[in-house]
Amino acid sequence: MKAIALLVAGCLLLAGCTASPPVGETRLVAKSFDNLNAASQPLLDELAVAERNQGKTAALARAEIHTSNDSSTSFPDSGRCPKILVVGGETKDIPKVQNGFCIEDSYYYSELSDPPATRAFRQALAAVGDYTQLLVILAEGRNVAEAKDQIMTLTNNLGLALSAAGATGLGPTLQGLVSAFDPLLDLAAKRSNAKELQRLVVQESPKVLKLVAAMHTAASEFFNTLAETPLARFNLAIDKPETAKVEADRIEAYRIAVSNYVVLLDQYEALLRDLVKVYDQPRGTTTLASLTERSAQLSAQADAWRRSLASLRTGLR
Amino acid sequence: MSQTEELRYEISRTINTLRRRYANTADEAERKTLLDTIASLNGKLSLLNQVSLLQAAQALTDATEDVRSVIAAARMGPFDGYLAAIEAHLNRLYSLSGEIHAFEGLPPAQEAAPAEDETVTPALARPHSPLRDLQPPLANTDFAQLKDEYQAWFDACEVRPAQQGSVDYYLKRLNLGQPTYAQVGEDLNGIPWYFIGIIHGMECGFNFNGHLHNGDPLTARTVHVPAGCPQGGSPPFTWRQSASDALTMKGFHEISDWSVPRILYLLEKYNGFGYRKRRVATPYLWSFSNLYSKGKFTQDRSYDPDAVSKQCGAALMLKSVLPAGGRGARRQVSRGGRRSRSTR
Repeated sequence: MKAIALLVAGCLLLAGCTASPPVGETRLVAKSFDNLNAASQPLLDELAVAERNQGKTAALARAEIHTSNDSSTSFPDSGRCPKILVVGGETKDIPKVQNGFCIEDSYYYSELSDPPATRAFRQALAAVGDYTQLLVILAEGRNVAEAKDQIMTLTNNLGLALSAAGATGLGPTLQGLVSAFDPLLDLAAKRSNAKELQRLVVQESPKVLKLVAAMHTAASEFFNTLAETPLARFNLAIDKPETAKVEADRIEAYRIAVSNYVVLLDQYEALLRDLVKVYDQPRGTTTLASLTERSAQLSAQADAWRRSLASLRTGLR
Repeated sequence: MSQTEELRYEISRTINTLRRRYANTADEAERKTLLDTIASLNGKLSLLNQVSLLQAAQALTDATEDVRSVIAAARMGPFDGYLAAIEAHLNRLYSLSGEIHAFEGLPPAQEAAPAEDETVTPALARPHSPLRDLQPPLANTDFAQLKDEYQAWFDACEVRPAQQGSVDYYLKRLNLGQPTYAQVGEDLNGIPWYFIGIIHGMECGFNFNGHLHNGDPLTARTVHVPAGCPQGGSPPFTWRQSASDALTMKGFHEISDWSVPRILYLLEKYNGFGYRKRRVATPYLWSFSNLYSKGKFTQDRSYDPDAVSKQCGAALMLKSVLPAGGRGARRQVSRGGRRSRSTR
């Protein structure tokens, strides 16, 4: 009994020494990711369409380079599928067509899957989301109930196995023991979660921040691809001011949308850095009031984003 | 500025120059040429945009892989170490109990007639037994003669309360192996999984490291009777290979009647009809139930009327895995047998 009492005291001491995980700050990071994700998904749908168009136009441009046998200008990646040429286009009414199939271009012509860059953007965003979700699960202890169920199941099995070996009645006893230690299990789980949360934030967040930086850098190519078709139309609408206006508005709407994406990425990055600071400076200045205020700011940003997206979709389509 | 960016910049400047020229000329032919040239340059811009976008995407993919590895390595189970330790204990316990149960397995029941000095008192013949309506086992070994007896005994059998924990253990082990038994059964014309599992429990204590023929290690062909099995292939054998060989050898893959009486008949035959010759309940089927109290063949192949089986009888396991405890299951039992609710 003395040994058990010591064990219980030891467990309580260990659990009691653990600092509470920064639940509020973690939820704030999660909320900023939700905003980023909500802003990005419709934009990524647009990107998929734009990237397909880009892929088809680029394939034709490559084939035209091969057809003209123009070696004066060396274009990056123009060597792809060099035997495919353009035929037709002799007069205005005869369309141009490629005379072969370039396997590498399949994802631009197929609508069964995202084209490659869109896929990479979505996967990057999903990885950031999964990481953020991990932090929330650990901070809120959502994994504890499942782990405790596993313990009860295994304890039950252990009891059955021991009963079969002749130790009848041990099953219920073991279960009773586990139930009696339930509060201690909770404390132990919280301690384990807090430790893993700290490791994921302090040790592993640089990798996430690196990914966020890559997403940030990619924003200009994101925009160039979205704006490519309207810009091409604009370039050809020299004596068609109405068309030029529509295409110019569309380009500007994409500029706003991608800018929002950049701002929300920055917001996520800043909040993740703040979370790291919580561990660097446990007695920092984060208070419930500041958390509430920043949470309200995030909600306002999400509303602004929704309005901007609505204008892109309704006014310019 | 990268080469791609420089090219894009120059092309964009060229397009601007061509647009200005277009605005200042009235020559239709020149205008058409200018538009064709701008369209062609648009195509080239597309090509360059695509290259830049894919470069950015590659950088994203590399960074994504790093984050994915972080997520995969995250320790989300707060009791992982503890759970792993209990599981290791459990596996060891299962392994040990398998060895114990296999050791205590019932030896074959010789069919030789009882010795002259041996008194044969048919079980269940006591006039005041609560099971007085049940007839003692017939000495016959013809299935047609035994069918009704099997069904009646099966309907009457119940777990002795004191043995419930042990029966639960057997059922747990049986159900744990179900996917493996089902795979073997499907490959052999639909032998029900529980038939294979029950034999595995009775003969090998559910140990998957031994041959189904007799429990010898899978690392070599069998040494004990039947020796030299499996004859094909080369050791070490997988449990599935060995089980397939053992079941085929007994001709179970040719059986089409998987009714309860037929299964009980096949199981009793597997161990031997020696108990039937003495008109007593075979522990191979009825041990741990209200239909068996004592009497078994011992390791020296002699019959000891006071020895008690320490194994759960096959009929109890069968009754627990069949729907509604097998009541009214005289008819065909489904082949390959889907897992059914336990009827504790």
